[in-house]
Amino acid sequence: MKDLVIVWLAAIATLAIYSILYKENPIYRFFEHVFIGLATGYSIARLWSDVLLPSWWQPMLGGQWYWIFALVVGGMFYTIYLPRYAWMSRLVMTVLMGMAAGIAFKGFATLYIPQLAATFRPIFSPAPPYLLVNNLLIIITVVAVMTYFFFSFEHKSRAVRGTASLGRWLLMIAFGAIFGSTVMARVALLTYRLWFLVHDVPSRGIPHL
Amino acid sequence: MASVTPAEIERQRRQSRIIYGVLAALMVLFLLFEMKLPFVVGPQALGLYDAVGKVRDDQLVLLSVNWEAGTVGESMPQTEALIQHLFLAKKRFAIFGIDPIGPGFAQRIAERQAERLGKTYGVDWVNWGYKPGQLAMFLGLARDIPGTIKQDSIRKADLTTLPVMRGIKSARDLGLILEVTSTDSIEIWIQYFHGVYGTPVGYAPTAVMVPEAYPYLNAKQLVGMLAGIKGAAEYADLLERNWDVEMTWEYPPRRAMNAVAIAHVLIVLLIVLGNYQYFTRHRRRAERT
Repeated sequence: MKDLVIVWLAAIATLAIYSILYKENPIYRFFEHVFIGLATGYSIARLWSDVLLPSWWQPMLGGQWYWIFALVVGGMFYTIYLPRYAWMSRLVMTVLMGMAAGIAFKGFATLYIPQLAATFRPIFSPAPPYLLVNNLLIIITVVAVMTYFFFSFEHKSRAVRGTASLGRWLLMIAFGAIFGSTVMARVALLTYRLWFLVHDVPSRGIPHL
Repeated sequence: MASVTPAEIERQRRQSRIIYGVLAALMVLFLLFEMKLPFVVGPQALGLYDAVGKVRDDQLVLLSVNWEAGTVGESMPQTEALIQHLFLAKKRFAIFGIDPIGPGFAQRIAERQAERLGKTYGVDWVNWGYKPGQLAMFLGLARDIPGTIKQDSIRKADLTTLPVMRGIKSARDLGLILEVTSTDSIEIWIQYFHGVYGTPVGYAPTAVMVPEAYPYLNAKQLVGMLAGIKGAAEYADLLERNWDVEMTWEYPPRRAMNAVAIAHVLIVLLIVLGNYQYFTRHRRRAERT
């Protein structure tokens, strides 16, 4: 019975959300707010049960009294709303910013330096021809796109103008690929809801089937 | 520029509704009836599949699940494919997320598959639950896993007491990190786990994020990738070809991919038709003037 109610509730919610495709309506608005409210409520409950309870509340009650300072430091963020004590929020923010900047430097090196090295590709080697074509394509794309974004001098020379123009075309192709992927993602999400309506609802939502 | 009349807007709305209707009808048809459309497994899915096989018995696979209800259509089949492979290949794994909702979804899938394949919670798999994605947490996790996670999410047991965590102390004991996500959480694993400890990282993003992942694949910062629902379908195909066990799906990715493919054919046709109409109208107008 419980499963039956869940399936039908989900079916009604799905149809209500897709009703926006016909036109804007209050039923769509209602279910949109229910969805956001549920996600937020669930997140708060998880935050308490998986994070605050085992990592802060239980140790504090178990004798590690100094965890109370986490609440004090966390509370300092909210002094931003009190002009007289706003300097306290800047203290914790400064510490966090300094830490983030230091860690980000290390992260930048491990993230981008291998990618820079990976653009240095051989174009004359015993590798299969398709790999050499791929390598050549990567090198041409990197040079052309970087030329397009090079603003330190005016693009007067015909060679620079041509390379920059090629860079612009290659960027457009990349944007096209990104847009194509976006369409695929949206269609995939629609497919799941259609599967739910034509498969799950008849198999789980109608008792005699 | 000529203003658009209310009648024109209404006509466009009617056309949109017809397109939505035709699209939905075609997709339902391809979902209900199993059809064998041509299908090729790409090198990215194959790379990820091979990487799972290479994990040593003394290592743990970290299944990082950061997706929400909005992307179930892509992320759930990816997660289900990976969990089935991990169970079949007898690889110990831990579910974890920096999104509060993802680990709950993955736990439901793992429980269903564990019951079917005879796997035990705490021995073959564990749910670490949700932890906020702060940098400090990741740095702590890399150095001291039990000290950062402390207890599992289901039994609330001390992590060090669970057999699945035997010998697992830091990032060096992780054989593979699998990130199933609808957010940009992949960078952190590459920066602080692959970049520092050399831990292999596999990626299962939604299709919208796929183009941005190619620089990571190109630089070998990722061992492989499941590109949205297409990646899940490829992985399902690999599993069905390589394992003599029946795979079960809450949402079968091969059938879903058929529906997505037919939707793409329709969209491409409509783009061609729309452009043809635009250019012929333009030419006729030019001829008149």
